[in-house]
Amino acid sequence: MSRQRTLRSPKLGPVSFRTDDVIHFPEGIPGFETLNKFLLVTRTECEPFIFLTSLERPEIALPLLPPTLVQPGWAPPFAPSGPGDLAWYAVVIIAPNATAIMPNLRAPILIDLRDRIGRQVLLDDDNAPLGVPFHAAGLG
Amino acid sequence: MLSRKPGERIRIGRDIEVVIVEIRGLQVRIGVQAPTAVTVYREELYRKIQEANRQAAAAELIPENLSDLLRTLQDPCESSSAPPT
Repeated sequence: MSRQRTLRSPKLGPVSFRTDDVIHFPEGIPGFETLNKFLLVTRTECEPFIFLTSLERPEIALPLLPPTLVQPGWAPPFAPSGPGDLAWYAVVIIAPNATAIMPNLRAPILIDLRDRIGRQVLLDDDNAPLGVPFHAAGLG
Repeated sequence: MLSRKPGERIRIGRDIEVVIVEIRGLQVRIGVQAPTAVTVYREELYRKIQEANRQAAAAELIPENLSDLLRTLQDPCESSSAPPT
C-alpha cells in the first residue's frame, strides 16, 4: 500500500511524496554507489529543472534536465526492448557562481517510470559532452 | 597481478571472464563476458562520471535564476534580451 510521506530536503524544503513515487537505483549512481532510493522532485520556480533527490541522504539532490532541452534533436542511445515507460535526463552541474550550467550528455540518467527503476548509462561516444569543468576536475 | 598472452583468459568469481583478444602496438583488445546484471566500464570514464555527479550534488543552494541559466546553453553569445528559443 502506498503511504504519504515527507522528505526534509535542506535544498528544496519539505517534499511530499507517496512511497510508490520512489525510484530504485540498484547500483546507485557513480559517486553515490550506496544510495539506492531516489525521488524526482520538481519546484515550480525551478522548472524545467528536476531534482534527483536521495531518500537516504536528503542533502544529495542532483539537478536534471531533459536532454532535448540541452541539445535539440538529442535521441536516446537505445529504445525500450519491451513495454516500458522510459524517461531520460541529463545531470547538470551548476557553476559555483551560478553563471553557467554544464549538462552531462555522456552519462544520461535512465528511469523506467512504470517499474520505478533507474540507472546512469555511461555512453561510449567520446563526442558527447561531459560538462565537467577541466580545471575543477583536475582530470585529463 | 597476472600476466597473460593474447588468447589467454582470466576468470573473476563464478560469472565473469576476461580474455586478452590481441595486442596491437600499445593497444590491448580485451573481451569481457559478464552477466547482464553486471555493467562493464572503462575506468577513467567511470571516474569522470563520479566527479561530474559529485559536482552536480555539490551546489549549495538552488539559484533563483536557475531557469534563466538554461538560456546560456542555447547561445552563450546571444544577448540576454533575445527571446528564448
